[in-house]
Amino acid sequence: MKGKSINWFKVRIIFLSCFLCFCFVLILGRMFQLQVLKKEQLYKLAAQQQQTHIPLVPKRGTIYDSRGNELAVSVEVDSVYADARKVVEVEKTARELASILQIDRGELKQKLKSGRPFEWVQRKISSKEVEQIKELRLPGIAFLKENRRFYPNAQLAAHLVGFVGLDSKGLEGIEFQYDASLNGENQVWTAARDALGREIAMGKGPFEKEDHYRNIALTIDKPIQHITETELGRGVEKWGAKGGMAIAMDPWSGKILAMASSPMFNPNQFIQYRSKSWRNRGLSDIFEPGSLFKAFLAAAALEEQVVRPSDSFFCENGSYKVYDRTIHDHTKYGYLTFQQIIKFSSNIGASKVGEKMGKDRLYRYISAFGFGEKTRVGLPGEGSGMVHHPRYWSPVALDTISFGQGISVTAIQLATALSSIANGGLLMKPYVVEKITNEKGEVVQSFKPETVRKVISEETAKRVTALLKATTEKGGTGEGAVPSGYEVAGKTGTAQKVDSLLGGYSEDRYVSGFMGFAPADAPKLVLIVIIDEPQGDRYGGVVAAPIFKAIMEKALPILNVLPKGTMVVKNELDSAPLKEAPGAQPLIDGIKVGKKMEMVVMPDLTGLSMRNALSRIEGKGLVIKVSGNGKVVDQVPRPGSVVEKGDICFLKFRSPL
Amino acid sequence: MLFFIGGSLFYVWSRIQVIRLGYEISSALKEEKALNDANKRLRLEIATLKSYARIEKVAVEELRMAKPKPEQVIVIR
Repeated sequence: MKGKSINWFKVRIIFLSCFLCFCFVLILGRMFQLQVLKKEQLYKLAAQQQQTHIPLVPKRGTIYDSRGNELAVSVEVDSVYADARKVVEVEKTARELASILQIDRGELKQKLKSGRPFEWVQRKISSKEVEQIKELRLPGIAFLKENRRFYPNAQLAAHLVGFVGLDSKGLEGIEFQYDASLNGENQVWTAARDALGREIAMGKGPFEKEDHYRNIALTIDKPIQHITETELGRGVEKWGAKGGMAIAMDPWSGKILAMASSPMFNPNQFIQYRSKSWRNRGLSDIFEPGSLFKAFLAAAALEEQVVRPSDSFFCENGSYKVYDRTIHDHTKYGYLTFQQIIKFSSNIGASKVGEKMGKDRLYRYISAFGFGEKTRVGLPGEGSGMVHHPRYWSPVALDTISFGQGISVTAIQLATALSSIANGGLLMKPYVVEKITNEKGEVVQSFKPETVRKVISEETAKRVTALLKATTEKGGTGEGAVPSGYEVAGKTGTAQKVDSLLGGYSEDRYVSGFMGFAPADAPKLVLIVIIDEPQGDRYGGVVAAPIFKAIMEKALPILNVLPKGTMVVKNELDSAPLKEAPGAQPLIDGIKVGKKMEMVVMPDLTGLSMRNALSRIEGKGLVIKVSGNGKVVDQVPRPGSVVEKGDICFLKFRSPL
Repeated sequence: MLFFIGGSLFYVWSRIQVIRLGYEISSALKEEKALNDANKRLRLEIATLKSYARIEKVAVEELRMAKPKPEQVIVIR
C-alpha cells in the first residue's frame, strides 16, 4: 500500500511536471506564432490602432486673370459616405438623408443594404447639409473632405478656363491642358492616437511638406472679357443666331485679352448644359472667312507690289464668269480702284487682284499669315483650318480664295494674322497663360511674347491699315463699327456656309463677321466678332459691326485709350504747391475745346462737388486745373467775371471735416 | 536614493508634458486648418460677390445706374 502511495506521489509529480512542460511548450509555441509567424500582421494592426492617418486632400491651384482676380478656386467641402455594415436602421437613415440631400430614397436604400464598408451617399455637399446630418447622429454615416472647384464668376471665360470633373480631373480648357501642374500630390499625415482616438502630434507635422500644386495666371483681362461676352451674347440673341465668337488680342504681344463663345455655360453646373455649349468656338470651329480674307489679299498684293491702292479694275457690272462659275457682287460696280474694292468689298475686284498675284504667291502669303496650321495658343481642341496646296486648286480656286471662299480658318488664326497687320508685319504667337506660380506665389514659369515670323514690311502694314481705315469711313461696308471718338481699321465679312448635305453653298445660312483694330494709328486692341447663322440680315457690316463697336467702345477706355473729346483735368494734390508757372503748360491733349470763340460769364461754383462743378463749366472751352478734393472753396476767375475760351480756371477743393 | 526617485519623477513629468504638448499641437494644427479653410471660403465668397455680372445687375436694376455717355465722362488725372 505504502509503495503504491509513493508511486502515486511520483506519478503526480511526473504528471504535474509533464503538464507544466506541456503548458510551457504551448506558451512557447504561441509566442513563436505571435512573435515570428504573425509578426508583420500584428505590427500593422498595432500601428493601425495607435496611429491615425489623416489623408490630406490634394489641393488644386487657383486660376487667375491678368489682374489677379480668381477665375477658378478650390475649396475643401465634405462628402458624406455610409459604412453599410454599421447602419442600424436602414429605413430611417435612408428617409432622413434623402430628405436633407434631396436624392432618390430607393437608390440610397439599396446602397445602405449592400453591406459594403464604403458607399458614397452624396459627394461635395454644402456646410448647411453637413450640419443637419451631423445633428441626426446616424450610425454608419461619416464624412470625408474633398476638394470642390468653384468658378466664382460663373460663365465668365468658361470656355477658356474649362472645368473639372468630380475627381478633380480637368476636363476642358486650361483645367485640362494644365491639369498636371494644377493638381497637387496626395499626401497622408500620420499622427499617434490615444485610447480615445484623439490625435497626438509627434514627429513631423504636415506643415513641412509642400503640396507642389501650381497656380496659373492668364492673360485674360476680366473687365474686357466681361464686356466681350455680354455684347456678344446680346448680339447673338438679337439676331437669333446659332452661335457666335469673339476674340480680343493685344497686337504687340499676342496676348489674348478676351475670348468668348456663345452659347455660354456655367462651369459650376456644366453637366446641365449640352456638351456642344462647352466648345471654345473661337479655337475649334472652322469656317470660310469670306470677305474678311480680302484684308490679307490686300496685304499680299501690296507687299508684292502687284497693285497700288489707286490702280483701277473693271468690276464687270456685278457678274464675272470664270470657267464654269459666275462670281457676283452684292452691288453692281463698274471701275473701282483697289482701295474702293476693299472699301466696298467687291468680290470681282478681289478675284482680279488674285489673278494678278498668281496661285503660288498667294499661297505663300496665306501660309505666312499662319492659315492652315495651328497657332499653338496652348489650349486643347484647336483647329488648323483647311488650306489646300495650289497643286490641288480647281481652276476657279484662285479667284474664290481671293475673296475668302474655298479656304477654312479659325477665328484665332484671323485675329493673329490681323495682329500682324496692326503691329507692323510681325506674326506673334498668341498665348493665354502669362505665368505659372507655386504655392508660395513664386513664379515658376513665365511666358513672353514670341515672334513667329515677319510677314510683311512695316511700310506695307501701314498701307493696308490705311485701306482698312477707308472701309470704316462713310460709305464703306464697316461704317457701323466705329465708336465715336475713335478711328478703326477693319474689314467686314459675310460668307455662305457650305451645305454639308447638298455639297454646294447654302442659300440661307451665313457667317457674318467683323474684324478690326483700334485706334487705327496706334493699335491697342485687335478684335474679331463672328456671328454664326444670323436671322433677318446677313451682312457683316450690319450684324457683326455694331457688336464690334459696342465692345470697342467699352474696352478701349479700360486700356487707357480715351475717345477724342474726353475732358481730362489734372488733379494737383494739396501737397504740391501751386506753381506760378510762366505760360501755363498745355495739359494732356484731348481737352475738350469749344468750337466758337465765345465770351461767357464765370458761374459761382463755391460749395459744389467736383463732379457738379466740372459739369457746370464743361463745354465752355476753359482749361481747368484742380487742386485738393471735396467741395469747391475757392475759384479763379471770380464768379461773374467774363472768361474766354482757352482761359485757365483754377478750382480749389477741400473736403468738409 | 532620493536623487534617483527625484530623477525618475522628473522623467515621468517630462514625458507627460511631451504628450500634453502633443495634444495641444494637434488641436492647434486642426484649428489652423479650419481657419485656413474658413478664410478660403470667405475669399471665394468675395470673388463671387465681385462677379461683374452680379455687380452690373445690382447697379442697373437696384440702384438704377447707367453707363455714362462719352460726353459725360471727365477723366481726372
